[in-house]
Amino acid sequence: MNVLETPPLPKAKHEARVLLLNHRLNGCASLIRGLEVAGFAVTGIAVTPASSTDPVHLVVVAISGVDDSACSVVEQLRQSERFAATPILVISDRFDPSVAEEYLHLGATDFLSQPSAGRVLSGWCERILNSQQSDWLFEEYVRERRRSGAFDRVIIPLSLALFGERDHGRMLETILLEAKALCLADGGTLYLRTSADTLEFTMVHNDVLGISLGGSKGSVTEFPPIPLYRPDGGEPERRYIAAYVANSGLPVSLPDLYDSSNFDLSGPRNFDTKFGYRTLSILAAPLKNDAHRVIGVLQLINARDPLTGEAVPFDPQQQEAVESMCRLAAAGLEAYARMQKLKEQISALHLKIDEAKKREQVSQIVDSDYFKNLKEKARQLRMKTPRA
Amino acid sequence: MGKVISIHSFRGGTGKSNLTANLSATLAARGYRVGVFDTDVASPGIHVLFGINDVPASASLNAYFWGNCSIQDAAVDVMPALEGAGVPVSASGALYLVPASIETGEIARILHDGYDVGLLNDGILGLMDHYDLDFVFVDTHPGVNEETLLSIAISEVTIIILRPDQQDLQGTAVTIELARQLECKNLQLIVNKAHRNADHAVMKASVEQKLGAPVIEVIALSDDMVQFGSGGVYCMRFPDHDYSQAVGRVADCLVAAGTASQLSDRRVS
Ligand SMILES: Nc1ncnc2c1ncn2[C@@H]1O[C@H](COP(=O)(O)OP(=O)(O)O)[C@@H](O)[C@H]1O
Ligand SMILES: [Mg+2]
Repeated sequence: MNVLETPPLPKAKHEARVLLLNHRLNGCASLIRGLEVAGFAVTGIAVTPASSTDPVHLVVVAISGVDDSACSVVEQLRQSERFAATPILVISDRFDPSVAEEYLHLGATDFLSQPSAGRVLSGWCERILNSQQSDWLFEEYVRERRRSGAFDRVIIPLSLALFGERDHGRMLETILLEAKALCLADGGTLYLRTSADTLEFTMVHNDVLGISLGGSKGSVTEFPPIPLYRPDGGEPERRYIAAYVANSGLPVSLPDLYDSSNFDLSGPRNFDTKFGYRTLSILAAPLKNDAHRVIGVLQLINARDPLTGEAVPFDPQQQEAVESMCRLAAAGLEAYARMQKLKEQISALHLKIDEAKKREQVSQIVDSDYFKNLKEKARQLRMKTPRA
Repeated sequence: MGKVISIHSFRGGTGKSNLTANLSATLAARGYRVGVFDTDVASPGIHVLFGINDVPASASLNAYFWGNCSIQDAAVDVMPALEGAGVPVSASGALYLVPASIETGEIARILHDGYDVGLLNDGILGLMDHYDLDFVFVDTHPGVNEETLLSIAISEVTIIILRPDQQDLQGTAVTIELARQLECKNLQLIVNKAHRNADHAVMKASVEQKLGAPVIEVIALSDDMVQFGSGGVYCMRFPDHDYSQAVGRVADCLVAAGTASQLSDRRVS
């Protein structure tokens, strides 16, 4: 997927064209004004796109609640050649995560809800006008969401189009670091589930200890993977926090780790002893895929009070935001996996050699006197050649 | 004794000439002594990549076949075309091209009469001897005509290029079978113009399994190459490009498989 394969990017404001597909959004007039203020020329307002070939840099689909016709429009746009790579924003009058997910799944680039839509939208317009890199956008996006107070709601999965599959490692790292920054946490760890049913340490960061492992720096070899099933009898492992989160699908937030008697804390204890550190608060949340299977765990330690710098428990708003970021990460990972699968399908070549035809073609040549002659010539030529 | 490598494909437009030019230039820039024969006498083209627009009637592969010149006379030193393109070129390298005639009358004549592969073989050995060449590349005519099959038979290594497409796959399967019957031992494949989203490792495995021959490289279809449109030797201009890197790996392969000790002293690091 390539967001950058859109029509030549506009060089000046008001050269950026937006196609507005209105599916009964109240207050569409103010949306149009917003778009124009942001620098777009609204080229058309319709329910479905007309078959013109004028360049369009952004498609906005305005909806009210769930709307099957709008869904199928998004789907058709994505499948059409003309709009396959054009950013498609869905703007709704209210926020509903399942609706958002549906549109994103169909290929929408982002789902914005009013009233905060306006500010995020202007971020989008900026991007399209400036043709910035997607990671820049992501940073801007997260910042904007936070500024507009949206982080206490849900941070919606950005479609893979924003990243391009090659960046999935960076995407995960960005999400981990953003989640950590959001809570002013000392440390963050991302575990991914392996096919051997273990949790693998994929990235480990701790600012206080100056630890930064995995991610763009390669794989983490310092810590062995955590088995998700017990060696005796194969019962799901629930003694370790990350394994518990993976097996239960539930987040865990503890104000003081060592006050908790439910978990085996040998791992954190070893870590603390080794590094002379004190783990106090901990927050671990699952990364779940579309089928609600846990494909990873994001864990943060020691949230800090922004004023005193003291280690404090993670608050419920932070937890909600982190859980949302886990959804974002899971969506990105799933999209990556889908892309990999697609790549493999392309590469496996659904082409076949027609063996019968090949035999016939070969024997037509080989069985002729001409070829026997040729073989003899080849032999003689090789004999003349003084090669080793 | 140098090594003769024929570059072949079942159909035209597969990327033979570009690969031959880039591969030979890469090796020459590294300090090897290289010769290139354009035996695609029906549609000669590799000279253009080396910046040659005019092939004189008195000095071409055709003229050599017809006894009008010696093979040395037909060979053009194209090393100067590589210098100044951007990539440092080793002083010990050499690159000679024996172009085929681009004159329509001469093309018609050679297509009608064919040519003696024995003479081609003598020419290759003669040029190799005269210029002390490490590698001679033969850019062949696509398909399975007699001359081409025989050139494959006289080469130590045959590289068959194919695109990931049905006709190429089928034709290559037939070519491989014929080459085996002619007792060609060192057959290798290169997949060119692979889909940009393809996973190269998977494609390599898939093609190897289908054709039963090793794939030494999978090269992606490159928009930059399309745009460049055979406007020169690509890897001399854009050495960091994926295409050039892929060519570099093929060159590594040929060097590694060669008489390494004999060649290594020539290589300038
Ligand atoms: N990997 C590639 N990606 C894109 N274009 C390519 C690639 N390899 C070759 N080409 C282009 O394909 C065309 C045919 O190549 P050429 O080397 O002349 O093929 P052949 O000698 O097999 O007929 C040329 O225009 C060349 O630039
Ligand atoms: Mg050619």
